[in-house]
Formats: sequence, structure tokens, C-alpha cells
Amino acid sequence: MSRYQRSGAGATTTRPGSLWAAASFKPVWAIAALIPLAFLAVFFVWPVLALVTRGFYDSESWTLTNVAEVLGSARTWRIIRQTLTLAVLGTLGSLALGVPGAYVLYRLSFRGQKLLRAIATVPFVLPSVVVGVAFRSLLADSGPLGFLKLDGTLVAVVAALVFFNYSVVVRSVGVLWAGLDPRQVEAAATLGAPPPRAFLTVTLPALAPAIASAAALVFLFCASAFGVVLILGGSRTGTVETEIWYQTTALLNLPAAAALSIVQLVIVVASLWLSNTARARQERALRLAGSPKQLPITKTGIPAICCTALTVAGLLLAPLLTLVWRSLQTRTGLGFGNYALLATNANGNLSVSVWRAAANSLVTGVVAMLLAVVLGGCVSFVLSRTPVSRWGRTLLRFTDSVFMLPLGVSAVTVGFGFLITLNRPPLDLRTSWILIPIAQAIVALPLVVRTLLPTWRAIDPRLREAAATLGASPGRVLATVELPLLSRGLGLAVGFAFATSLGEFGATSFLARPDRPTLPVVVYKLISRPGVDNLGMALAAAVVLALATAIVMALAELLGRGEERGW
Amino acid sequence: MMTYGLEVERATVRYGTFTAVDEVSLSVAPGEILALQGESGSGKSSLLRGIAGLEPLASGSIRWNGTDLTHTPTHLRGFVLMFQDGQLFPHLDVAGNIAYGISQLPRREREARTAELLVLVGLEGYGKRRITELSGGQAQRVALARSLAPQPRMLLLDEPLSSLDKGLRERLVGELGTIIRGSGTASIYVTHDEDEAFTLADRVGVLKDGRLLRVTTA
Repeated sequence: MSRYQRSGAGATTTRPGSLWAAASFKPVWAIAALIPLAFLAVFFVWPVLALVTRGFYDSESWTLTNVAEVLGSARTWRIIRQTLTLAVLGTLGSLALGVPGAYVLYRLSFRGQKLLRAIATVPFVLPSVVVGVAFRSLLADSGPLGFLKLDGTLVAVVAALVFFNYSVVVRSVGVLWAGLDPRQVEAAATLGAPPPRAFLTVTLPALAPAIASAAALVFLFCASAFGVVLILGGSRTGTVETEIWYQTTALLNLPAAAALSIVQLVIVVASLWLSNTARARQERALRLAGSPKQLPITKTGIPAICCTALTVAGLLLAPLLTLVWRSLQTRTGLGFGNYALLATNANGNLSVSVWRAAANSLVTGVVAMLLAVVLGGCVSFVLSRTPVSRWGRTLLRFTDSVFMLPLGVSAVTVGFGFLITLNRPPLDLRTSWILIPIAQAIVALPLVVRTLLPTWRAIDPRLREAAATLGASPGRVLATVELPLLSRGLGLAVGFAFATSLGEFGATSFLARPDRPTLPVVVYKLISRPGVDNLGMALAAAVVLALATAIVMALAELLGRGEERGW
Repeated sequence: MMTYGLEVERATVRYGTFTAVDEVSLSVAPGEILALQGESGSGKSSLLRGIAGLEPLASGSIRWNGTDLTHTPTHLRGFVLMFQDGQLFPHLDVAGNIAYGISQLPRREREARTAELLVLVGLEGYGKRRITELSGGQAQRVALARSLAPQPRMLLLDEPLSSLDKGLRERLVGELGTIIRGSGTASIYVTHDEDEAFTLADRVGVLKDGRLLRVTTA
């Protein structure tokens, strides 16, 4: 006797035409959407809006004076110009090196490729202060490339930005490139096109969506870069981000900072819009691409191989190796002296020891990671559904773009916004350390969603349907079908969230209380103080921070093994 | 008047403004196999999804033994849908897939039932195999076993053999018919192949442009 025949009475308890039965899943759906939306509203939209308002309000009435004053100053325009110049050069540099890199690391096939790919991926997850300190150790007057006199110049900052974003281009373009049918180029060759022409007329147009999407994203990252610019730019090279920081912390000129935040918001929203448009096109192109096909090395590939070898050795490895090497140099020769100093507070320069700060970082990182993964999981869950009603679809699109906002809205804006909104009732968190993990979670949230959502959307909806017809409730479908299939993406998301939080500097630098600094804050403090010991400790602390991030990401990659996809 | 088994009355399924299923009425008695035959795009899969509760009906009703199920969620209907391409769960092995719908049974019973079904579909000893190691025909046998495991009151089959090559399909049709009939479940078998429909079913309905044109006894 079947369980349905046996439970014939059970079927009748579902009252004919009762609404709750059909709607039973919707409350869950709504709660999953509302919790992250509420979180985002309180901890992102409100602070940012308050900041914008502050720019137009001078404690008594609405005014355009602040904005006009800021926009009227030559300094502001110099900074805007510099921000855009840095972003454009950083993007062009990343593309120029990244496209050949994509070919070598994804289209070709050779031994050791996996290792090279891993090396190319590392920079993206490195904390910005680590990258800043690493380039500083390479380019400073005392460093191996000190004779180039690049410290504090535009070139130094652009090099660091390319270092950061190289992997974004390589991964995004590479995944699409590997999926292109090689017979297209072969067809062009049989029609008489020499390799350069075949590349320009066949391959490049096919790659265009991925290149455009990567370019837009890199531009966004470069335009909102903070930590590297602050450390490498010195007094000569700055961006809107560093200027906001300078106006707030050095001059205490909050109205000017607020006005600058509005300028930054405009730049970021424009590039975010560009990036979203480009991303949609790239996702379409990726869906059309075939399964990856890798080719053996041929003579035509040699320029690209040389370019990639030079990039990996000169741009990616050199700063990191110099960082490690110089962290081992002490007054008395090579040794771990600088690391031993991490147990001290640098003769009173710091409020706590570096290890204490590292422990603070771990705790805040874990809390931020949990927040980001739970909230990002809820968002991805909602976004992976396809609602039937038009109202539902509109809400879905809205939610999708809203959760990408923190990707662009600078961490500095978030930190500054927290300062001016969450410091009085109804929500007085000014003295609470929880503010830092919350800000870090906001920064990590878009990355979590971008990692989880594609995996979730890739689950064939018919698998869920099959489970439902076998009698599994939506909750059981989630637990027994979707989560097991998500485990890979989930591993990566946890890693990204944790690594991002560990290294987060922009928001944290505003929010960290002097008696409870995080590791990146301490690294910045040490590098900006004179003195051999301070420099040595900064280098050692940066190595520790880099190692912690690398270990987290390696574990995550291990959990999410085998997954290769574009950004 | 109460009818035993499935009764679909003037069911309509719409996607936006497009009407995929247009006021179709039909009934299937317990133990009976109804085949629905039609070209692709005739609305036969949409109708099946509507009956399973995977698509909401724009109008009309679905009843079982006189009880209205029109607004009952899929998982409470007791109608199992077997998909064209099986839709086996890739993270579970063969036994795990078959046992998915009977997780509420005690372990021993569940294992016994799984083993029994493996024998029924001719895959004895395949329980620990991974899904990726199965051929197309084997995968569909597993999908059938999985569908039968919870002893559903209604079995909905959406072109279960169409992804297989012709020779294999002809061999499996007879076997499939015997197994379904042996289970005594009311079944709807959707296919675009007329021969297959008449080999398997008690009655054959023809769908065109979302309308049920006629139902003939096979």
C-alpha cells in the first residue's frame, strides 16, 4: 500500500483551494530577501545617504556651498583628474598584460600551468596594505629598484593596480578563450589570414564581451582603490578616496569630505553601471561558449609566453619576494629579528602588540565572514529563483543590482558613513567593535554573491522539480539537493569573505578604535612612521598578513576545487 | 459524482500571454496508462508539469479521488514526474537516488526496497555506482526505479525514452510497459512517437496547439 493511499486522509487535510498551500513557500522567500535588504538598508544605504545629505546641509539649512566650494577648488579637479588617470592607466595596463596572460594560462596547455595560474590568482586576494608595502619595499630608495626613483609616483601606483587586477582580466578572458572553437581560427587561416589578422578579426571580436566586462570591473576597482594609493602615492599622488581620508582624519573637514564622497559616488555608480551592462553581455557569451579546449604550444604563441613569463616574474613575484627578503633583514644581518619584534608594541608607537592586532583581525574576520556568507547565501538563494509574477521579477532585478552596489561604493565611504550615522541613538554602535565586522561584511557581500550565485543558477531547476515530485518539501530540496551541489561555491565564498575581511583597510581605518586595531591598520601605522625597526616590523607584519590570507584562500580553493569561472 | 483516480478539468497553462495548454480535460483511473501524443510544442510537457504542480494553472482544476489538488504544492501531491533526461542527482550514487523519495522509511526497509527496485529495472548490484558511470539507458532505468520507489499514486512520464537511440528505445518500451503496469500506478506517458504510444498505453490522447483533439482506446 502506497504512502499516499495510506495517507488518503492527509490529502484531504489540504483544504481544497486553500491559499496557504500554494503560498507556503513564499514567506520563506520573502524573509530570505528581507533580512539582507534590511541589513543593507541600515548598514549601507542609510550611512551613504546620510553622508550625501551632510554634503548638502550645513547644520541649519540646505545649501550648495559645500559642494560648490569643493568643486570650485583646483585641488579637487587635480585629484579627480588623477583618479581617472590612475583608473584608465591601471585598466589599460591590466588588459595589455592580462590578455596575453589569458591565452597562455587558459588557452594553451603545458606542464606547470596550474601553478602559474595559482600564482596569478594570489594578488587579487592580497590585502591592499600588503601590496602597498611590497611595492614600497621594492621601489623605495633603499630597495632593489630604488635607483628608478619611482617611490610615490604615478607609475608606482599604476604598477600596483595592475598587479592587483591582472588576475581579474586573466580569469575573465581566459575562461571564455578556452571555450572558443579553435576551428574558427583554422577556417580564417585556410582563407588566407596570417595569425595576427586571424587574431584581430576572429578571436578578438569573440573575446570582446569578456574583455569589456573585465575592463569595466578593473576600472571600478582602480577608481575606488585606497590602501595601495595611500601607501604608495605619498603626498604627490592621490585619489578621491585618499583625499576623503585626508580631509577627515587630518583636517577634520567633514563637509568637504562629504562633498568629495558625492563626487566619488558619481564616478563609482557610472562605472558600476558600465560594468553591469558588460557583465550581462559576457554571461551571454559564456553560455554560448563550448567546453574548454586547450592547445599545445606553437611558434605563434611565443610572444605571449614571453610577455606572461616577464609579468609573472617581474610584476607579480618580484615585489612579494622582495617583501619577504627584506622582512628578514635586521640591524644584525639576516634573521627573524623583525618577527620577534611583532610581540612588542614598537616602543610605544602602537597601542598593542602586532600579534594582539592579528588576533583582533582573526576574530573580526570570522564574524564578518559569517555575516557575509549568511546574508550573501540568503541573497543568492532569492536571486537563483525565477518568480512567476512580474512584480517578483522586478523585485529580483532590483535586489540583484542593489547588492552589487557595495562592490563599487568605496570602503572609505562606508567607514565614513558609519562614523556619522551609527554614533547616536537609535543605533549607537560607535564604541562597539561589532561595527568593524559589519563594515567588512558589507564590503565582502558582493564577492560572496558573485561566487555563490553562478553555481546556484547552474543547478538545473528540473533537479529541484524532480525532488519535489518525489515528495521533498522545499526545505528538504534545499538541504538535500541544492546545498550539496553548492558546496564548491560555498567553500570559495567562505574563503573570499574571510580573506577580504582579514585584509580590509578602507572602512576599518575609519572605524578601528585605537585600543583595538586590526593587522592592516597596524601595518599602515608602522610603514608611515620613520625608523628602521618600524619598517622592519611593517614588512614582517605584512608577510604575516599575506600568509594568513594565502592560507585561507588555499584552503578555500581546496574546498572549491575544480571550479574555474570568469568574474 | 466522484471519480476514482485523476481528473483534470478544463486545465489551462499560460506563459505570459502564450497559452500552452488550452482547457484540457481528461481522466486516468488507478492502474490505467494514458499516453499523450503530439508534436513538440503541442503543450504535452506543459500539461504534465501542470498536473505535477510545477506550473500553476491559469484556470481549471486537478482532482484525485474527488479531492481538489489544484493548489496543493508539488511535494504533497504524490505525483512523481520522470524527466526526459532523468535528472538524477549528481551528488548521490544510484542507491541514494532511488531512496530519495523514501527517506522517511527505516533504514532496513529503505535498503530492501532499493535493492528490490534495482532488480526490477535490471540493474542488480549497481547501487554503489556513481551517476556519471551510467549509460543513457541505465540512467533512465535508475530514474524509473527512483520514480517508483515511493509508490506514487500517479506516475507522470515525460518522453522518458526520447534521449536514447532507436534500437535501445524499442527494446525498453516493452520492458517499461510491463514494469509500469506491474506497479498498478495510474500513469500518463507523454511521447511524440505514435507507435510507442499505442504499444504502451490503454488509451491514447492526441494534443495539438494546447488542445486535446481526441482520445482513442489502444
